[in-house]
Amino acid sequence: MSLKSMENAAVGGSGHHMIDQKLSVQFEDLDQQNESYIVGMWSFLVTEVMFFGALFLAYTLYRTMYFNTYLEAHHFLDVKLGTLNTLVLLSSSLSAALAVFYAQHGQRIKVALLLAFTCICAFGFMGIKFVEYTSKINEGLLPDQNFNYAKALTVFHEHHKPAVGVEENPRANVAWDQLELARKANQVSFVEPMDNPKTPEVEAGFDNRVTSASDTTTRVVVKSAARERFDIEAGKAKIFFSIYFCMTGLHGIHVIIGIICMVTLILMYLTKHEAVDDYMPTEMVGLYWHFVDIVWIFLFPLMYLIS
Amino acid sequence: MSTATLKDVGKPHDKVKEPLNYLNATNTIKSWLFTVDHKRIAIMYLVAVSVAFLLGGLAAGMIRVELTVPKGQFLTNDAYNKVFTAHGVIMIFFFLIPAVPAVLGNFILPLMLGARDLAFPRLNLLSFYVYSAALVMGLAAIIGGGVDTGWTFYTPYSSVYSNSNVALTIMAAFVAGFSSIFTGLNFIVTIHKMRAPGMTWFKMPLFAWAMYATSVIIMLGTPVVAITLALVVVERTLGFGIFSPEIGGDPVLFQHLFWFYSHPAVYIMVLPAMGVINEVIAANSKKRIFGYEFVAFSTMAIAVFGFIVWGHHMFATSQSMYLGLVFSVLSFLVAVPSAVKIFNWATTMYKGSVELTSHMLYAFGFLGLFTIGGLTGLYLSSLATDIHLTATYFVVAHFHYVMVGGTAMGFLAGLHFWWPKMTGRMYNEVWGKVSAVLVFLGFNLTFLPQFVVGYLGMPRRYHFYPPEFQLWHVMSTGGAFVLGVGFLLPVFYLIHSLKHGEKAGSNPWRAVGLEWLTTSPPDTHNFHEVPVVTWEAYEYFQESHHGGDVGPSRFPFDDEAVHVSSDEEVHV
Amino acid sequence: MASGHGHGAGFAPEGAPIERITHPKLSLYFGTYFALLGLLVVTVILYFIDLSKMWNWVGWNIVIALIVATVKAVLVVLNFMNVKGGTRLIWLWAALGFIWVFLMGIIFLDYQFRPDSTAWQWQGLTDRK
Repeated sequence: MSLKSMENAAVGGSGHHMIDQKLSVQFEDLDQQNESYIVGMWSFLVTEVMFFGALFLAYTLYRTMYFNTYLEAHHFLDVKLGTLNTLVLLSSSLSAALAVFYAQHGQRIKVALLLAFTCICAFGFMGIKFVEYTSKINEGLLPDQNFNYAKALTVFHEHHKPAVGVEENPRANVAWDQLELARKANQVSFVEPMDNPKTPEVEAGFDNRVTSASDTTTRVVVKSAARERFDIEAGKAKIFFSIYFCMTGLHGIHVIIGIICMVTLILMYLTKHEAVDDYMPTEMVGLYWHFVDIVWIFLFPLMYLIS
Repeated sequence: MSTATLKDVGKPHDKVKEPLNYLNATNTIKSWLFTVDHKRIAIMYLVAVSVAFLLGGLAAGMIRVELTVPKGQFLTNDAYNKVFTAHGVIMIFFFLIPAVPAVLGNFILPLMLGARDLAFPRLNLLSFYVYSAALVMGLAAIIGGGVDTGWTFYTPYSSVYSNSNVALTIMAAFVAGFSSIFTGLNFIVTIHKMRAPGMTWFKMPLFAWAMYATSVIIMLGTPVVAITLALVVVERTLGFGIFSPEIGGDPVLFQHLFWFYSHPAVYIMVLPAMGVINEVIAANSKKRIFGYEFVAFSTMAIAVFGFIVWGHHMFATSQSMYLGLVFSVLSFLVAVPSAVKIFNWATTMYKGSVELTSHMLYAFGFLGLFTIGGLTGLYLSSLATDIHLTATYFVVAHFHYVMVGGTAMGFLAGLHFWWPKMTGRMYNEVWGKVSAVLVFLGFNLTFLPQFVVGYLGMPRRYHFYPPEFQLWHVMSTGGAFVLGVGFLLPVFYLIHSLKHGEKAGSNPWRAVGLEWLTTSPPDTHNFHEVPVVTWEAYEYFQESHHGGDVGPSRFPFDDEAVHVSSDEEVHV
Repeated sequence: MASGHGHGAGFAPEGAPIERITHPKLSLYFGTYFALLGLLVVTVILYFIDLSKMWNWVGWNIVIALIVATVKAVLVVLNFMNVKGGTRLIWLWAALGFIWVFLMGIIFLDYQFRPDSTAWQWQGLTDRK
C-alpha cells in the first residue's frame, strides 16, 4: 500500500478530519477494532445470504419445474410498483452510504438527516408493499385456505383483454385455458364464494355427486378433466404465491428491522448518545441495509419480470 | 489488597485474602447477569447446558424404561413419540451443539489466544440470553403438551397433520440457532484478529482451529435450517404450502434443506470435542500432537466436506439414485480426515509420557468410541447396506457412538481438564476416574446391543418390538442406568470441589498453552500483560525436523511475572 | 516479559504489509448510484424484449437478467459496502456467503436425475385411493 494512499486513508480520502474513536478494552488498536466489527458484520451477512438462499433455491426449483404456472401467475405482480420499489430502495442505499460517510467525519446532523431519508424510503417501500399485498389478498391470492385462483384469474382476464394483433405466448395461459374449458363444458358450478366453507369430503375431492345449483350449504364440484387440470395448476400457483409471500414477507421483515435500527441511530445522534460518538454502529447498520437492497435487486427480476 | 504471588496461592492461609479473580471480583447477582466477561458467561452456560443435559437424559431414561419390555405400558404411543422427540430436540439443540463451544470455547478460547476477552463481549452475553430464552421456550413446548414429530420435523406430518406443539418447539430451535450464530461470529473474529503477538495460525492450539472450523460451519449452515423450519411454522399457522404434495410441492425438498444444515451440524457437535481431545492428549502425553498441520487441515476439510454429504440421510427417499451414488462416495471421503486425526492422536501417545488422569481416560474413551461410531457410519454411507439399516436401531447406535462417545466424552474431558483453571480447585481424581470408567462401560452396554437389534431389523422410534429382541433391550436399559450414574457423579464431585477441593495452581497439569499462564481462576481481564508467543504449539520440547528432541521448551512454565494476578483495576 | 501490540490486520508476520481499510470519496457513491439506476432501466427494458426470438433460446432472458442483477449487486458490495477499500479478510467474508449459497444447487441435481421427473408431481385427486 503506497504511502500516499495511507495518508489519504488517515484523512478519510477527502481532506476532512476523521472522528476520534474510542478503543474498547479487548482490542489493541483502532484498526484491529474497526476491522473486527466489519468482519463480524460481514459474517452475519453471510448467514443472511444463506437464510435467503434457501428460499431462492426453492423458488428456482419450482420455477424450473413449473415454469408455465410461474409465467402465468407472475402477471398478478405489478411491474410498475416493483420497479418503483426498486428505485426507492436503491435511493435509500445511496443515502445510507452517504450517512456512513458523514458519520466517519463526525457530521451528526447530516447523518441524522440522511438516515431519516433512508427511513422515509424504507417506509415508502413498505407502503407500496402494503398496497401490493392488500390487492393480492382481495383478489384471493393469499395462499392460505382461502386461496381462490379461479376468481383471481377471472378478474384478471376481465381487466386485461389481450390487445388485438398481439401474439400471446401460448404457454402463458395454462390455467386460464383449462378454466375456460371447464366453464364451457358447463358441468361445473364453479364459483366458490368465500363464505361457503367446503365440507371435508368436497375438500378432499372424494365427492363427485351433482346436486342442484341452488344448494347453498354444500359446495360440490363435478370434476371434469379440464377442471382437474385447472386444480393442478392452481396448486402450483399456490406454491408460487407461497414463495412470493414468504420471500417478500421475509424481506419486508428485514426492512422493518432496518427501520428500527435506523430510527434508534437517529435518536442516538439527536440526543448525542455516546454510542454514536463512533461511526461504526452506523457503518454496520449501513452494511445491513445494503444487504437488504441486494436481496431486493435479485428478488425483483426473479419474481416480477418472468418472461 | 494483598500482593499474593503464585507461591502463596495453594497454601492454606488463614488471614491472607484470596487474590482477585473473575469469580470473586464482584459478587452481586447483577454483576453476574449483566457481565460481559467471557468466563462468567461460560459458567452461566455451563449451568444452563447441564440442566438441558439432565432433562434430555431424563427423557432418555423414560425411553429405556419403556423399551425394557416388548410391549411396554409405561408410555402410550403418543407419549412415546413425544418423549423421544423431546430427547432429540433437547439433546441436539440445547446440549450437543452449544456445550463445548459455549462453555469451554467461551472460557478457554480467549485465554488460549492471549486475548483479554472475545471480540464482542456484549454479543456473547446476548448469545447466552437468547439460548436461555430458547431453552425456556423449548421446555414450555415439551412440558405443555409435547411434540411428536421427531426432532427431524419431517413434512407433511409436522407441517399439516401433527396436533402437537410443533410451532413452539420449532421457534425454540430457531431462536437457539441465533444463539449459535452469535457465538460462532464471535469466535471467527476473535481467532482472526485477536491472537497474541507471535501466534501465527500454525502456532495456535488445535482447539482454536477446531473452534474456527466449527464457527464457519455454524455461520454457513444454521440459517438454512432456520428458514426451513420457519417455512414449516408458516405452513402450519398460515396455510402456505411449499412442501405439500397435494399442491405439487415436494416433502423431500424439506429433507434436502433440513439435512443441508443437520449434517454439518453433527460436525458442529464433534469438531469442538475433537479440539478438546487435542489439548487433553497433548498435555497428558507431554508431546506435540503428531502431524499438527495434518490435524489442522483435516479439521478444515471436515468442515468443508461436511457440507456436501447430506444426501446420505435420504437414501431411502425418492432422491435420485444417481445423486445418491455421489453422496455415498463423498460420505466415504468425509470419513478420511476424521480417521487421519484418530491416527495422529494415537501416534502422539507413542513414546510420550502418558498420564492416566481422568480426562485422559475420557480421551481414550473418545478415541475408541468415536472410531466405532465412525466405522459404523461407513455401513450407512454404503447405499446397499443403508437400505436395510436406515431407520433402524443401527443408525441410533451409530449416532450415539459419535455424539455421546464423541461429543459428550469430549465435553467431560475438557470440563475435567480445565476445571482447575475455571474454578481454581482440583476435583477428586479417584471419583473422576470412577466416573470415566462408569461412563465408558455403561455407554457400551447401552449402545452395542442396539447395533445388533438394528441389524436384526428393529425400526427406530418404535416402542413395540418382537420378543426375541428383548435380551438386547434389557442389556441396553441396564447399561443406560450405569451410564446415568456415570454422568451424574461429576455433578456431585465437581460441585463438591468448589468448596472442598484442593486449591489449584495456575498449571496443575504442567501443560503448554497460554491459558496455563494465567492464575487459576484467571483475573477478570485474563492477562496483566499480553504475552508474546515464541514457542510452537504443544512445545513440550523443541523438535528437530525429524521429530527428535533438540532442546527444552521455550514455554515459560515457571514464569512468575505472568502468574501474578493484577491487584489493581485494569483501567480502560 | 515484553508485551507486543496486535497491529493492523491482526498479527502480521514480519515483513507482511499492514492492511488498513480505506474509505472512498463522495463522488464514488453518486457514480455508483447512477450506474445502478441505469442498470435498473436495462432490467425493465429487458422484460419487454423477448430475446428468444433474437437468439434462439428461451433461457436468454433470465440469464441476462441475472447477469445484470449480479452486476448491480457487485456494485453495491464493492462501493456502497466498501469492500473495495477493505482488507483481504473482509473480501473473504464478503465473497464467502455468495459463493457458498450455490452449494445448495446440488439439490437441483436430485430433481434433474430422478428417473421420471414428473413422478413426484401431484397426480390429481382421482388417483388417490
